[in-house]
Amino acid sequence: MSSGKEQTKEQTTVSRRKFLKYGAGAVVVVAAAAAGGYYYYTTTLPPPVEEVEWGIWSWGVELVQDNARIFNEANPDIHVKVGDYGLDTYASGLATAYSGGKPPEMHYSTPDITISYQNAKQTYDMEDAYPEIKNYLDDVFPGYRTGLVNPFSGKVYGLFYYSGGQTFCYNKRHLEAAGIGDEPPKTMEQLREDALEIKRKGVVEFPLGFFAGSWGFTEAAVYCTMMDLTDQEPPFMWDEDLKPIFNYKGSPLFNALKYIGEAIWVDKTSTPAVVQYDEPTTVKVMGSGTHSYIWMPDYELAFINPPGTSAEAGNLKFAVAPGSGRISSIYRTYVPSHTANDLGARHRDAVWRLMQFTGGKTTNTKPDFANGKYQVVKRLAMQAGLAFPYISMWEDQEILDSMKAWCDPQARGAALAKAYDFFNDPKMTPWWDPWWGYWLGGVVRPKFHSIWLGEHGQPASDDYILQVLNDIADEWTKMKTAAGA
Amino acid sequence: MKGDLKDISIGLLPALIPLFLFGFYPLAYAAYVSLFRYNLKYPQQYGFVGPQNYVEVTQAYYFRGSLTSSIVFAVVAIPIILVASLALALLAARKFRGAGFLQWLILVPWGIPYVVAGLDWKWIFDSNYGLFNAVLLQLGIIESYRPWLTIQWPAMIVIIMSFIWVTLPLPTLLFLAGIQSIPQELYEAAMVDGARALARFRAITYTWLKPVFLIVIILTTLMSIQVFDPIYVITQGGPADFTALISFYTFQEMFTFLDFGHASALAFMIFMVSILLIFAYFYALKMGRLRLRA
Repeated sequence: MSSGKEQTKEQTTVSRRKFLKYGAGAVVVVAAAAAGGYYYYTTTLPPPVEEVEWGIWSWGVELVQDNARIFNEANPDIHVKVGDYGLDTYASGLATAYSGGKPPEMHYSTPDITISYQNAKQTYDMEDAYPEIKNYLDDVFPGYRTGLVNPFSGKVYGLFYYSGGQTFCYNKRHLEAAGIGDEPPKTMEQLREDALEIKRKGVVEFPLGFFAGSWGFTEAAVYCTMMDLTDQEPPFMWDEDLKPIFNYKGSPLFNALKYIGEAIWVDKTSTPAVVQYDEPTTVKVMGSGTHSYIWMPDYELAFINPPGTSAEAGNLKFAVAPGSGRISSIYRTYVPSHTANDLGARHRDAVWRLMQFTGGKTTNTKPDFANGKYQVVKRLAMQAGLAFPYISMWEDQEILDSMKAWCDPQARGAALAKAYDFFNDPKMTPWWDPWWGYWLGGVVRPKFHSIWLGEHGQPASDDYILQVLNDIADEWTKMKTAAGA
Repeated sequence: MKGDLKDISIGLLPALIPLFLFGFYPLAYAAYVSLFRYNLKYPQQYGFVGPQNYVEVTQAYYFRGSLTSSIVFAVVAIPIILVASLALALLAARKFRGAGFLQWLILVPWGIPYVVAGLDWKWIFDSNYGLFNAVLLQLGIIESYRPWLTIQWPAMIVIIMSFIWVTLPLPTLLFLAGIQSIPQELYEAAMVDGARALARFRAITYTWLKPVFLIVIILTTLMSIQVFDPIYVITQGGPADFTALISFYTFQEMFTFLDFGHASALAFMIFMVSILLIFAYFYALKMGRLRLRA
């Protein structure tokens, strides 16, 4: 038995030796384990989740959130966050996000917004990485195809959120009460005469409605009236070099301004109040039977035509517009911003998968152009009445049946088949919106409104209308020059 | 002393930081941006342009019209506010049953945001369902509903009424405070001297309230320069562009046309006019203090 001191010494000596011996072994074991562990780690831990922001405006937010949830549950490697940028504040909110350098990877867009960021090279063309996106064009009605193409690059940038048109609608009850029968007018002259007849019979005071306020001003009031009054082939407003071709007496635009002005002040079949008609007001007045005819967004009938939804429920019908039958198309698209591509291929793939789920064909949320279905577009069509530009969807009986609750799908389809992409007449420009005053103000809107409001003659004289057209043509040229075009 | 200064500085920090962050910095930045070509639609054109934005906005298609509309708005609204708030204050200062309720009633619109007030007024004058049309029709004054908001002057008047309705309580309170600070002995002495009501008002009330008048004029002018919400909600600048005040076009340049350079130039011009009015406001306050001391 050794003494305590010796024992300690021995223990110390042994432990050093042991330490070196076992230590070296431990290093080897740990290194091996670490190597094995690392290998194990890289193969079994889930890959990092790609965070993608989907920028929307405040419409059907719960539906959108639910679509995002469905996508997230089926795609654990992607997390989609819905960013609500408001409704009236959408353009400014998006502008703030873009100027801050962090716009959502994919967002809703109207053509006037899209062109701004395309011009600023802040968007990404999906065709660059996914040329198969062009396949979708074959399934899109011709009147909408240009809406998916970036005019600066000529490439397809994204897919449709929804589409529709400023369809011509009439109130069947009014027509029958006036003894016109259930036959909508075939020409613009007949429209005028029928409206006079309805007024004469005392059915309503103002049979002709025009969605001439807010964003309807350009597309419903001006473009639909203009296009239906002429047999001329497009473009209607500018030539290929974007020079104005509308400022002469008898031009389609001149005739449209005159037609509406005379309806208000000569026939008195319409009212100056139409310049205040925003979308909700337009829906309200048609639902309450204030007017017999109007061009308005097709999907709105889903809110006022099913039984019990408005005073005129069931009486409102779609028809091919009188005259040329052309109507302005409405389309909203999914635009990928530069952030979709900034973070590399994996991130970009995530955005592309989301875009196909929301605007393209998928099977179980996975891209499948050949055999998939337009899952979200179909859901929007069936639950919210939104129309769609995809030809194959018009053969889907389930969708057509869902429309029957509030419209005749054939009549709707026939009307939409005549849609014209007025945003590309002949092509979209960044100064298009400030010139028209598409949403508010602008150069054109107050001047056209002043004609219809009778501020310069009731109705305004031909000379005055021409003077307005020359003024706005000059302002167009100034804006074009300022843009360096 | 040095320690005091340090303490004072630390004490002021909670007030100064937000003031700089949300007051001075945005102002300075707006002044800076107003000297640049800065349009989100044309980022490739970004660059220093000096005073060009100021020249461009003053030559823009909307400038003359919107300046005229702004002046018309102020010229009509301010005298009405002045007279109405003084009348209400004189009434509220009287001792009668229900005076407390009247004072409360006067304050109510102050709690209503301009946007909500604007919507109320828009509904009242709606061309299809408006209360105003219904009343006129019932009284036999009109034969059918009229689109009042599409006619220039009625539209401007509705916007002015909406503005006045929400703005009125503050000047009324200022007048009321001024009236309540007038020593009663002055009135008693005047009555002993046989002064009638109008003479008492001119010699005592009006004289005493002169600085308050000035303050109210300046404050309401400041408010009228910056008014935006009722226009946006009620007319969106219409009919045609008759109610599109300069503040409306500032918004439009900024948020609709994304031209930050133009919008900043307009905003800075409005700011400069406001600064002049603020100086006048402080001068009026000083006058008021001197009068009270006297």
